[in-house]
Amino acid sequence: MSQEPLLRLTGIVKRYPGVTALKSVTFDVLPGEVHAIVGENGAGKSTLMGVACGAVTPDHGQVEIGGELLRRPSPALAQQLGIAVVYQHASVLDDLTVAENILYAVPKDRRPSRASATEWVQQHLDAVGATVGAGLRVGELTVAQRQLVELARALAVDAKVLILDEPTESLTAAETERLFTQIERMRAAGSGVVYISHRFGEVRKVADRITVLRDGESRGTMRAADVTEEDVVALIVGRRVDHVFPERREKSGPGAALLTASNLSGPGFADVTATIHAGEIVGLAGIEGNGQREFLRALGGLASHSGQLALEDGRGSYSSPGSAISSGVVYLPADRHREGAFLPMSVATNASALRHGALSGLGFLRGRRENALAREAVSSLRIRTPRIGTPVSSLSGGNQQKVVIARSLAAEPRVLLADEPTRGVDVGSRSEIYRTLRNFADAGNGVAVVSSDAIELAGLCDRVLVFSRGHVIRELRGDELSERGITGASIGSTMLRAETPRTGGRASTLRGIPTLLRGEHLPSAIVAALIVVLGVYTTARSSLFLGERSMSNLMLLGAITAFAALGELTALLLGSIDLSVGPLIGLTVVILSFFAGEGSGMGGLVVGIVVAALVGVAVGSLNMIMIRLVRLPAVVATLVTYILLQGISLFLRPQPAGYLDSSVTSAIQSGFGSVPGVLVLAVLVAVLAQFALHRTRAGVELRAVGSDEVRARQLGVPVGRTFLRGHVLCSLGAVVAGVVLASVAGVGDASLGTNYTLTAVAAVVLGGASIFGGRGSYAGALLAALLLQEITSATTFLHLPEAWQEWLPGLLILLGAAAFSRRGARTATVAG
Amino acid sequence: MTSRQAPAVVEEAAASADRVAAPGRARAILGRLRNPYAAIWPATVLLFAVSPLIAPGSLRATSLQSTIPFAALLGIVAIGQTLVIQQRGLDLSAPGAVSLAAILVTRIPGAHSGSLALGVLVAIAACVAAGLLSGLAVTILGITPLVATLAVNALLLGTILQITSGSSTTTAQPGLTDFASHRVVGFAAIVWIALFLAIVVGAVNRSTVVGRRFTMIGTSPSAARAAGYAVKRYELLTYCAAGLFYALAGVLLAGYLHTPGLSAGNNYLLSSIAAVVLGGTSLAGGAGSAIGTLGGALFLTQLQQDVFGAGAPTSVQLIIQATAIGVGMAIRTVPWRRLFSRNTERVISSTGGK
Repeated sequence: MSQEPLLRLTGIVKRYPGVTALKSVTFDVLPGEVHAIVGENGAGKSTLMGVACGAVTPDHGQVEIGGELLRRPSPALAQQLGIAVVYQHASVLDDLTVAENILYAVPKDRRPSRASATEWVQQHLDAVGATVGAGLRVGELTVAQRQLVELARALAVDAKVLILDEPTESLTAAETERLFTQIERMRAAGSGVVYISHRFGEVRKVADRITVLRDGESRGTMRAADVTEEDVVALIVGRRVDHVFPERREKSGPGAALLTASNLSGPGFADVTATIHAGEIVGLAGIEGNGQREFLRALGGLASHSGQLALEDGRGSYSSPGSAISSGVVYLPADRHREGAFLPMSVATNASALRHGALSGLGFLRGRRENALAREAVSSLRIRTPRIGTPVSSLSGGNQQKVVIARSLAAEPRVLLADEPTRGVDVGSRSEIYRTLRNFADAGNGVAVVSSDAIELAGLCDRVLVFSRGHVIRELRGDELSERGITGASIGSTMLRAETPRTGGRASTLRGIPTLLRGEHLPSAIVAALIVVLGVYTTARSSLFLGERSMSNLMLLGAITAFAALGELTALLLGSIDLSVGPLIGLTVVILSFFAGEGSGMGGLVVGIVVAALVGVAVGSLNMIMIRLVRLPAVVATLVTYILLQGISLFLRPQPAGYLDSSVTSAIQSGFGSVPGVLVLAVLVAVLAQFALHRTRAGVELRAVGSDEVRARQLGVPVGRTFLRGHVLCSLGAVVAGVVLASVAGVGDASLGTNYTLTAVAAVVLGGASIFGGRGSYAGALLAALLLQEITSATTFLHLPEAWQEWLPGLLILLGAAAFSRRGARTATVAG
Repeated sequence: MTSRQAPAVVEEAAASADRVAAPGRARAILGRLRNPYAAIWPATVLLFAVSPLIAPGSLRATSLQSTIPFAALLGIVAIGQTLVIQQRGLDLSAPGAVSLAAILVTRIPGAHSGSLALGVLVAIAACVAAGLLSGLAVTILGITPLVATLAVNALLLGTILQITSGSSTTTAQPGLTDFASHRVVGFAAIVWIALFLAIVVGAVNRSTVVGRRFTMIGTSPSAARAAGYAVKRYELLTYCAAGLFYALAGVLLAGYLHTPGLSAGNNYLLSSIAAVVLGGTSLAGGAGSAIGTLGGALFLTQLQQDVFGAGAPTSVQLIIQATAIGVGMAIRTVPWRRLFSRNTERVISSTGGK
């Protein structure tokens, strides 16, 4: 049958600053076909798939999905047209549950009913062998579990084209088998599958056709049945592999031991004994995640470890990167962008980063010496840069890496620990880097290299230690030292892993613990307890505290803080912040003083509220525009609004004036017995918002954007619209708070309200929200707002010095943030 | 062979960079945009130039002599804020610290004269301790700077209430008031102190190992850790140093105002951040300029003065201030560089960087 391709990319060109990632690539997938893309790191595989799924906009070329041209590419559009992607680094969102992650992506007509949703999700999880609960937060899962959830999601949407980007990296053999079964099922159902991998064995097994990418160009598409591994490897590498590696020098025997690890254990590895000798390059191999990288980092002082480290002269061990470097052991980071380079800074600054001591006198840097060092580095490593003052960020990947190597060598180490020294580096620079490492070793120093590229290890190293599950299981040297030998030894170990159950990170065991005590409900419970304790204590000291007057006053003022906090939380959930809530509360008071003045009656109140609400929408939109379109940091943008609104309020009411009609104030303050209606309203709003946050698409979108904007976009969340919605809601919360405050103040006073900004942020943080977005509880914010108000009243009744009105909230914020909103808590999940 | 060939590569690259970015004007603009701290000075000069048109008499010596000390005070606070912002933070405790220092220096010597030095030392110690607390909260407890300094500010405000019982009637010692308003070469001593501090901070930042590492840590804490720098120690000391600047500003403020109110520092929360931003220091952290911040403070204060001198009410002043900050920031964040970046990109690819 002649078939129209499900996905067709024609003449795709994509340039990035300093590099052309794709040079006119054409690629298609037919129905019922598995089409594999193979190529080295940096060959352009991921960029090509980014183009296919709408995440990357090409400079030239066409993307057609199911015969439809993708005119304005976006992930949401590509998904609608039937593309599903499984990313190499799982793109599931940490702050959403497993079920939310899966269900959000499912098109409306295929979505299960609410009642059967959990079961439906569980079925799809079972299909890929994921043993996780649908209600778990993804942040609690292990890397492999996330990968399976991502896979389950892609299968659940029943896409026309499924794109798998290195899907088996963190899977066991059994899980991989299950994946292949699912791929077979999709093929049989007439869907297309794009399978990106560098493991030829897998590709051979599942693919119908294979396309080889090298340096951003297609090197040919062939039928999988017709080719041999040698053919494909030759196309992938495009060179005779043995040529790029420098020759090993014949040695009479091992050099002096420069660095010896004895029974070293740490996170990810245990009981490793190894020695790096002078003059040799030692490779550390293994499937990703078997401890070789962690071991190397521990040698560099970047990970905690137990056991013995001995230097050349028998000096003792070290525990920080600083002391490692001064001991002559320098770690060369794998992650150039995060750890290796100071990207916005110049080549010279980067090259001299480890050499400050020698380049300075009396604490002052000597510019001339520094420049000399940088020029020497540029020439000896052949770094291609316009000037030594050029920011490293504007160099190509290969030259950036050379700068990082230059800085490491400038420290004149005895031992260099190179973690993926050629990752994302072009072929030309690569052989230069190999030569540099070999020359360094030949000069009587030692090198340890971790690389996921077995060819690289085989060509470069004198011997290779193979890691499996944190232990060294083989040492390869001489004739055994080949790509095949390394891969064989490493893969042999994966088979082992498949047979032993995974330990650690068994998040599903948490299923039994009541959700109330986990995550975001814990702060609410603690705050509620504090409210009760403080209330009981204050009543015991002064019975007037429970009096009707005191209570209704507390609740009325509490409602103001509560509405401000509910609004602020919406901004924080987005990963944004709104400092302008306070002045907006003040402006609302001023607006009401014009419309609901004496003699205006209820009609005036309604008009005033409508006008204030419109102003609120405008303020929220203004904030959103400044943050998203002008790209101001949220703090600055809302600070501008803060000052602006204060100015407008003062302009409208230079002096306090405009008394509110008494019928208006009593209407706002009316309630049920001594409970003000507005507090009941605040509670209702909090409950509804809490419900909406977890049960509606809009709520999921809010948390998705706050959790990780990039991944949220990949998931198809309309990020801009969500941002607008969040900021407008935030402002509307402030408007309601302003209406209540107006009734309390009774007069249009422009100076009111501004203090509520800090109180609102305090309440939200105290209520357990993460300042980084994605997590928070409306119930918690409400309770914390009431607690803050209670503290203010209680101090009066307890005859405590006024200072406690500031001290208690201050201390509570510090304690609350330390317990619930720490930076570390978040980075741990991001890194995982 | 390599050592001979490579410099040629560099030179050739430099030459072709000149060639590609040929139109001289575009290059000049690019060069100026590369130094984000310089832009505030032409703006400030322009503002002073048009000042007489807006507010007649605003350039008269007496008028300048009363305005510029306030710019200097704001400048000193904002230098502290600059340091925190360079470490990717934001210090909301500046108002509390400035107020506390102003109150302590008037309270400690009390009615008795003679112990001014003690008052100054106590004020400095208190603010540095507050900075230490913020720093510990950020580095050890892992609390975001915004939240940590918000809480510390509350603690400082409470302390002020505790010390003063809510009333402020104490006056700064004559020794301090004389010093603060003593004129040296036409301007109050405060002005020269601010200038001196900015130059010292700028010099440390630019030419010492400590300053270099400070900037690098702000640029990328993770890369700095891998490079073996004492990241946490630097972060911690940053908040302490900021506290020192707030203390100095508070002490001088007390001397200049004679009777500082309880909330003398309140105005400095927003304006210190605004001065930093206008001065060209990025809120993303890393490189920064104390001198630029001083320029930002001068610009903001003069702007306020002009609007005030023109007879506009506070409301209009605020609206103009907001617009100035918004526009000033927007000019910096709009990716002008990208408009020229086609050139830059070509330079790099043409030199074989690929």
